[in-house]
Amino acid sequence: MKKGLLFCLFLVWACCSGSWVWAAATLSQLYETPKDQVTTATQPGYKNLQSYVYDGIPGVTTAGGAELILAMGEGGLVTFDYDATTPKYGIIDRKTSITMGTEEVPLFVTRVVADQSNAALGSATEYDTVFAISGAYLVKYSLSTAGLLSDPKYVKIYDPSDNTRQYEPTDLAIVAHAASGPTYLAVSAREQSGTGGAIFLIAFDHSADGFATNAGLPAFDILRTSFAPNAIATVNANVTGSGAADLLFIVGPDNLVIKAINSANIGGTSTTDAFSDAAQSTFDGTARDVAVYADAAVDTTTATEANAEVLIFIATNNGVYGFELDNSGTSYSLEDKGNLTQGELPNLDAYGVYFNAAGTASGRAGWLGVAAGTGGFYLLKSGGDATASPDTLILSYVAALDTTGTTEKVFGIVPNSTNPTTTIDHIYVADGGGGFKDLAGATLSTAPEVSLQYQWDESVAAVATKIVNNGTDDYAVVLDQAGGIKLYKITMGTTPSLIPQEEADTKGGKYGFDLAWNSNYNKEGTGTNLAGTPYDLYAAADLTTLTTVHLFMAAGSAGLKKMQLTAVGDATNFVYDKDTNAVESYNTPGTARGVDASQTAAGVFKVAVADGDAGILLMDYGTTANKFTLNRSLALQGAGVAESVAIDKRTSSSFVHVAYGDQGLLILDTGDASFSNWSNPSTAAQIDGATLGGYAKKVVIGQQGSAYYAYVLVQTATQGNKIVIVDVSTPSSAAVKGTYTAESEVNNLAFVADTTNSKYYLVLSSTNDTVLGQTSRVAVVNVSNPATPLAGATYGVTGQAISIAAKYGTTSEVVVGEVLQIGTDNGYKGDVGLLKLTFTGAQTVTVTPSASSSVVPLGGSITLGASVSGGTAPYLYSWSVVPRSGTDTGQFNPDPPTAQSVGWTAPQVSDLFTFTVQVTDNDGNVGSGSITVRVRPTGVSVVNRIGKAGSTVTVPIEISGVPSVAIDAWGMDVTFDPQLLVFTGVSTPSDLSGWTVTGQQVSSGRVRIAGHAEAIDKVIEPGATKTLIYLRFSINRNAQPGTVASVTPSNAVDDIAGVPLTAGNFKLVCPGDVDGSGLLTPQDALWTFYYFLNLYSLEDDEAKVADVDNNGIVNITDAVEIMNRYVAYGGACQ
Amino acid sequence: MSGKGSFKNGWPFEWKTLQVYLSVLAGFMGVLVWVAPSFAASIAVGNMLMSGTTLSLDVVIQNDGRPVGSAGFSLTYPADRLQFMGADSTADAMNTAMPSGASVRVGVMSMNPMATSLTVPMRFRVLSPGPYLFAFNPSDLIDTVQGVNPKRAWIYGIQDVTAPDMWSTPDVERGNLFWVVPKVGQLTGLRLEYEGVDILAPLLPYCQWYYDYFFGTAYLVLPSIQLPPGAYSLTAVMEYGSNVVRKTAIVAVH
Repeated sequence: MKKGLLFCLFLVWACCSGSWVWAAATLSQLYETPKDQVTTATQPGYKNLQSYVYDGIPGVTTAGGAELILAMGEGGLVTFDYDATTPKYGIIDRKTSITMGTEEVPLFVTRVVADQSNAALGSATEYDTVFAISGAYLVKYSLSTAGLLSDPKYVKIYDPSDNTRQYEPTDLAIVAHAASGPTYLAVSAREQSGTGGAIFLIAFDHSADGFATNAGLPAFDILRTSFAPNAIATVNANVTGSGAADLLFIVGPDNLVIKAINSANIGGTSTTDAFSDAAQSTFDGTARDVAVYADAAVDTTTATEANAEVLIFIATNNGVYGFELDNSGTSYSLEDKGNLTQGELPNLDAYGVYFNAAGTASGRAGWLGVAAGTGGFYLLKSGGDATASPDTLILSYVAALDTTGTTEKVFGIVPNSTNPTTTIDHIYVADGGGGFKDLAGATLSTAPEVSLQYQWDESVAAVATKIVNNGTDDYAVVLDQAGGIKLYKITMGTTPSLIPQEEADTKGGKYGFDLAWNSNYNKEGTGTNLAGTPYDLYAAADLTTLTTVHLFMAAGSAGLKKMQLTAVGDATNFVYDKDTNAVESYNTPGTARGVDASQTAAGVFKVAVADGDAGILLMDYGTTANKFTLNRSLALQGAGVAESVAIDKRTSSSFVHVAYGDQGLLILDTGDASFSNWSNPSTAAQIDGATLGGYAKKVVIGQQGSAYYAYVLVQTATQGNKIVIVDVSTPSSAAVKGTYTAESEVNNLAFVADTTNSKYYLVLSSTNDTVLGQTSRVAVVNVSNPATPLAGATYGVTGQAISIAAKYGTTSEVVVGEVLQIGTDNGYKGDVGLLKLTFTGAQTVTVTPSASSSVVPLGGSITLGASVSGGTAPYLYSWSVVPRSGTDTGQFNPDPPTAQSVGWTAPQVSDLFTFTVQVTDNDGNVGSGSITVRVRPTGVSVVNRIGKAGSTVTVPIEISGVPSVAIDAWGMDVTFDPQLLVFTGVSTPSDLSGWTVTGQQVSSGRVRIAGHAEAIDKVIEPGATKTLIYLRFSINRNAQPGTVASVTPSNAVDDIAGVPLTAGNFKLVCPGDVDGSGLLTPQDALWTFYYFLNLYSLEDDEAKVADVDNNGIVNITDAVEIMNRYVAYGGACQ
Repeated sequence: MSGKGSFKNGWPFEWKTLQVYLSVLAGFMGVLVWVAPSFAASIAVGNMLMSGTTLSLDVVIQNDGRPVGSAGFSLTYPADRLQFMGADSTADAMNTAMPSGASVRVGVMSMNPMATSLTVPMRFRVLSPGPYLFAFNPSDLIDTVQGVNPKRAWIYGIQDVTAPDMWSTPDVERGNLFWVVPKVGQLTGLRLEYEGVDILAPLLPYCQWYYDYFFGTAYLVLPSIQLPPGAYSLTAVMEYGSNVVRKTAIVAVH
């Protein structure tokens, strides 16, 4: 760098100086939903018991209307109001624990059946007793007409004669219920240690309100099985012609066993006589569920036969197997109908089956609902010929639906009473972490479609979180890993509180909006609008209708989805509804991992998608009636995974930033603010992975004043994660600005701007680190100075924080999404946390630097110090120095100079040095101060000067730092180049009043000068720095710029005899070359202009050079002329 | 960096003992690593926009969070395709510009002593179809940006590049070259010949160039360096397998 502008480097990070500065932004008042949920059992997430729906019973008729009974795992046993006539959807009653002796034991309900003990109740579905499996127990509750559960009873499932075996119940069924008699129940159970299992039969005595006992022990009849029985079903049918029998169907790995049950023998002295053989068979697969249907019309091969046959559907990991239980004479005969789904659905992995004959006695036109785990729901139609010999049974694919949860069981199918073969009013599905869902089937004989019509899901695992405002309130939109979209209303008061999940409307309604709400899942397992894997979320209120919130989801293999929520905040009208909410889906070629959008008009968006190894998609949405349009697909040549994307829309330009894995940060130039180059972007810059120091995982853009930064979450190979801050103010020259490494477990980030005080922060979510001994937490980082990110407050959370959103406001808020099953793709439990974020305001830091001496001899040393007021300690210090004319900056001690007090050693050149100290307080407030120090040779010295041809120059001669003598008289000779300079006289310095000075030319190029004090009190004190005299010269008008001549003192006498004498230089420069560099540059124009504005001081010789028009005034005209000469002649002197 | 004299093979270029690039092909195919110093000034072209027959762009000068003060630069552009119309001043910067041949020299003076970023809006009239290439001459960077190496060129109209192109604009005492190479991924050979000798490797350090990944196109500018008077015929040889494309440009220096 030429003389003039040379700066020292600033400190990069406080750790290098051994001190830390902490930003003062604080986090407080954490409320986590549902962990801190109210204690009302009917509220979702009661006591943080997040439900996984395993099973249910639909259509329970009570005096209050229709109900459901749900088995919700740790969420307990629930009665749920689901009456479409007088809707008040929601929990009526919930039991989450049961008193056993003196202990309150938590329930974990996986299966449920209901019974009617009192025939006087009316319709068969007006149940008054509920049985359920919870852990190793069979429990019973009474059910009131109001849907309330009471009078719990329980019995442990075990063999009283063999306490060495422990059993885990798997299924539950009612075998029989005699009028005014007990209810006979069957429970299948697998051995906890072993490959076998058992079937337990027991009676529940309603009059005694207890399970039957025998000598104080449970009165079981037990059938041991060599395999683990996973499911059972019962039916009463007269198959053999010997009378109606209670038949029990048992399925497990590869096995089907059918027993006839004599309920009267349940209990008693024999523990096995309730069972009698019926039939058995094997198949290839592990059975999870079984459904049965009995009717005499199932097989009418023999037209006159009045016996019933039983259709058996078995859900296995290899599809659905079919059997038919018939008779052979008076014995049972089992007909193997084979794998009924292998042809159309060879990859079907069936978890549950439910059959409804749809009013056809033969069962050959019924509906089979198949729960396929993460594969969703399939609707099949039964068929075949009941009259053929042998009769045939087939299943045909009708429609399918994907869900975000795990479809565990189908627990009810209700065909339309008028059109049972074309319309299904309800299909009740237990969707695991996705809650319970009610589907509907329409136009099933022509254009089959199965769609969601209701979802109730109280659990949440928030993988992405955004904050939107509907014009009145803030809402947190959450992408739930197992349940789709959830909405929470944020109330930030003096004391923030729990944020409740928003339900559809005042009728009570839906909690959540499944990603596959409108999926079309074909038999090949592909289709449109599948649930996929939730990765990322964009949410924004509509520009015109603020109560409409637009959503885009990156859903992995399912591509990109668009949904919207309408009437948000309107308790009466808010809905999650596929028809109203314009669900749209786009199948991307890769794995959609990140999404961002920019709303260019109400409901119209530019959408950017990070599509994994398929690169980046630039799309439009809404320009054509709620449809996606692909504008451009881009991929880096070679390997690379596009992980995250951020759209950067500025006043007159636009960019897309992509965290591209090991390829680093890629920046695309998409044109002006209207995205003029959206279809043909160009590469603005790429900061590769090596420069970032790892794998670019996420990117967020923030505007800090007029500057723009990309905050990139980078995963390193061995040192955890970090945030790399890239200056993208001019993207084509993007460069790394700073790095933050203090949160090695950071996994997500949000940017928040305190625009009032011009402070800028990142809010980070971090998972736990057992090595560091820290729990999962939220952390604040002050990035107001991107080169020195400052660590701020942290706050521990309960779960694993993996998503975060932040908003600056009157009361700033942070919403954090936590999961409780980290690392599990289908984990369904977590919390949504709300934190209060408090910023300190901008504070003025006043810095007053000082120097131990204002004049330093060549090579001498001084001490610099900084006095600071304002702001909050501790402080960071950073010193820098700028020489006025030269390039040598001397030497700091310590170096780097980051202490409050530092030493400095001057170079061996005369110059004026400006020291600046920048002080940063603990919240990133910055103050600075400057001080000037002159370095002068010790003794008598001639000051360097410049001048232009034909002008004049005044040359000072100074004395400095001579400690041994006071000066009241002096004399010396001075020689100079007479070809260049003509001596015209001397003058007395203004700060040397009371002195007389004289000078006379004694020969060509030599003058003799002298001075004396006029009074004793005018002597120059020992060690002082004073100007002794000014020598005046005129400059040869024909001299050439660049000429340098020495002005040399000699023959010193009187009080300066023996004092060191130092010559100076006079340099002839081009008019306008104010800094004496030898070239005309914009800096010369700048100094001239700033001198005119009184912002910069020029010595008198410099000012004369600046006066290029020779009018005796230095003003803007001179500055403009200097600049003009620079651009015209490239700096050369003309 | 400039100088007169004869190059080893007659190319009138002062031979510098510089680090030789591994291979030009590798240089074009490799990843452009923009490794800027942690604290350094920068100069870059941005906001290129075409409106009617006017192409506008901004030159942005930054000084790493510190006041810019003053700066000077020269921007090389294809004067046969663009006519320089002017550089505007802004609220923070007084900008003065003068075109000469294929480059325009600009002086920038900050009106705001605290401004850490200064913008020079520049306008060009389109004379003929593009693409249009721009590059700074590092030796003309002065004051705050002295010593900065821009390390790249800029282009407008890359989406219209379908075939290789190379040309030069006559100038006084300076020579320039503009070169666009599409389909870099299909290149099997690349040379720049002067009197039959490949001078690409030694010439490359004096050039500004860039490779756009998405378009697979590379472009290069020799930014108005001082040369002795003469007409220098350069031939670019681009081999796409069996298809060899040759483009010849006369670097005319008066």
